[in-house]
Amino acid sequence: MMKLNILLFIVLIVFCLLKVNTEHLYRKNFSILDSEQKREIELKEEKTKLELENTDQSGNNRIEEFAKKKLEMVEPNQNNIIQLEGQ
Amino acid sequence: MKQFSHQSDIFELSKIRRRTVLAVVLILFSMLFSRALYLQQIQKEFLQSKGDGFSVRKEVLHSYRGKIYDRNNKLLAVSSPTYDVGISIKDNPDLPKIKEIAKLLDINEQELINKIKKKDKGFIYIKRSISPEKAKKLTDLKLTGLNLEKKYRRFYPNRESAAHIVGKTNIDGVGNEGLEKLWDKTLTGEIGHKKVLVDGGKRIIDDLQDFKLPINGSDIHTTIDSRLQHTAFEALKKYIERYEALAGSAILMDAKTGEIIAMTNYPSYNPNSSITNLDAMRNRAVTDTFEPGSTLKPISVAYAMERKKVKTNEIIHTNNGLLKVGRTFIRDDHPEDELTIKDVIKTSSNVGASIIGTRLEPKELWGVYDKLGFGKKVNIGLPGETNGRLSNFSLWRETDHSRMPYGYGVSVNLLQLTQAYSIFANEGLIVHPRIYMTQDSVFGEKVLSPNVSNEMKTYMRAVVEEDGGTGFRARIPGYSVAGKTGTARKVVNGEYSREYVASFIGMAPSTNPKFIMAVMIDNPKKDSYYGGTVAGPVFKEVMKEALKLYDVPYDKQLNENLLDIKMDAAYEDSRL
Repeated sequence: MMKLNILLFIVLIVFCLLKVNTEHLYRKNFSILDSEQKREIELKEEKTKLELENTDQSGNNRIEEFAKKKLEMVEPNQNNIIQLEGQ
Repeated sequence: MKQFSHQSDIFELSKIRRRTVLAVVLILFSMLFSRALYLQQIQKEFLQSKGDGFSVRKEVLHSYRGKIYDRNNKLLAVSSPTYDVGISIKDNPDLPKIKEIAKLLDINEQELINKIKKKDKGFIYIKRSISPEKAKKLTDLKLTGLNLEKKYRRFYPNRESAAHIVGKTNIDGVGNEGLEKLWDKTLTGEIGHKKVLVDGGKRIIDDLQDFKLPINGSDIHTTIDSRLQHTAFEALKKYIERYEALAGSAILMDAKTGEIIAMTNYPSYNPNSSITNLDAMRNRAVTDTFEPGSTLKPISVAYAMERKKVKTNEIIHTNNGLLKVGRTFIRDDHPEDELTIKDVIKTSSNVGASIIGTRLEPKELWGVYDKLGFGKKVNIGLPGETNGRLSNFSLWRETDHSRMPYGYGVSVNLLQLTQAYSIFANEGLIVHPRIYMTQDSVFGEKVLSPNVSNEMKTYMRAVVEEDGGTGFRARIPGYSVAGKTGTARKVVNGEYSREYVASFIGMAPSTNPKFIMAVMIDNPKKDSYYGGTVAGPVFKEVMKEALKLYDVPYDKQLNENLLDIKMDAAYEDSRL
């Protein structure tokens, strides 16, 4: 009887340790999951930002500004336009 | 050596000792029990809140405001995170780090130090809306008291050009103009929250199953093409400034589906900036009404043709451009004694249009205007849309009846006018404009027969393509254009003034119209006020670009327009 009690006591201790360990692992993994979820949100926001930058950089305003100021392009005079027919 | 008869004899104690131990154990247990009772019941709430304060945190789960897209999935409005930088002033500030912050944020070092020194305690904002990259660099400085508050700011890449459609949000992120206002609830979604358990390092270690998931706002897909929206805005701006006009609007619509490709107004505002000018914020294309003048002539004349009140080869006697109605006179700018129906449209004869239009009973004329949607909202789904004005035919006097065929006595907004012209692009069927992308089929109510519609389109083609037409400035190389100019006097304080509304509405290619475009310019003051001169070129610039972008095949020879361009100088103002 005594031996059985000691055995059960040891089993109890082992399960308690396992429970503590599992809880620790769960919390550790949960913390990782939470930071990964935050990272996912950050990446989504980054994607939106890049989309916005892409729209802005390829926008008509920028192209026009670039053409006028940097490339010094001007609209041709109406009399200088010759329309070519396709062959 | 003492022999024990039973194992329990080992623990055999005297009675007194046993009772003492039992009493001590009982007292200890009762102390423990009463303490537990005290903590669990009497101090429960206080202790729980104290404990939760260290380990339980309530997190807000942000919902993202929906994006607004154009027809090519280009962004028209989007929310992106920014940070407001503030600092809590408690002790002596860490000056070297403050200097570094000033350098990072491009603000004057000395000004920032003075600002901090001026305020002994409390909280000050240093800079608002900085980028996440800069925010990260600031966090890396690890300055005590530095506070970075994350916010979602709305960005509008198209700035002024699409401002009237997209609208804007206020500082709290609530839509207060345009689509942002109309669809505020749909775009906003709902924020959520969750209760979490944190450890000593403030890391989240468990979820307490007390949460509400956020609902992100829905995206909106519009029919706008941001490229043409920009072109339309720039062209409108150019000619409004050139003719020193008060304001103007332009609408480009897909002739077959009714999808609005561009809708722009000038003056406009930049929705990215907080500066607001209420007058510039109005979407004039749907809010402002005007008497359309000559642009209604094709409608009234076509309906007279439909009701067989006039024959296509009939000669109209216009009495040298003068017609007396009651005590008033109707006059033509280019007086002629006799005109064909085509000439009535081409030279924009008020007398001719009135003679033909009054052959329709008031009820018939009112009926066609009503069918075309005058006097009632188009219901396109933009805020501020007006009805316009079309009084009931029973209230018309003789003068009203005579003026209605050439566009006076009725007021419309530009969108209503664009909708009305869809009958000439769709063989007599009216197509309702729309601004949201849907898969719904397009149904059009029949207003004119295909023959009459096509005949009128031929006359309108003469307005632009033939010599002597009032709309020659809208010619586009390679494409035939059908259109009509309009120059209407404005009513100021109940009387017709010397101020005008110049307009042009047309479609191209006229053989199989792809687009309909309407332009309205309010009160041009310098050099000219005629629709053909002021609004025609806006139509040309935008339509040319639209046809090119959408690969619409040419329907006439390219080089025939060269002669026309060189003849420009020989023309005077294209009237009416």
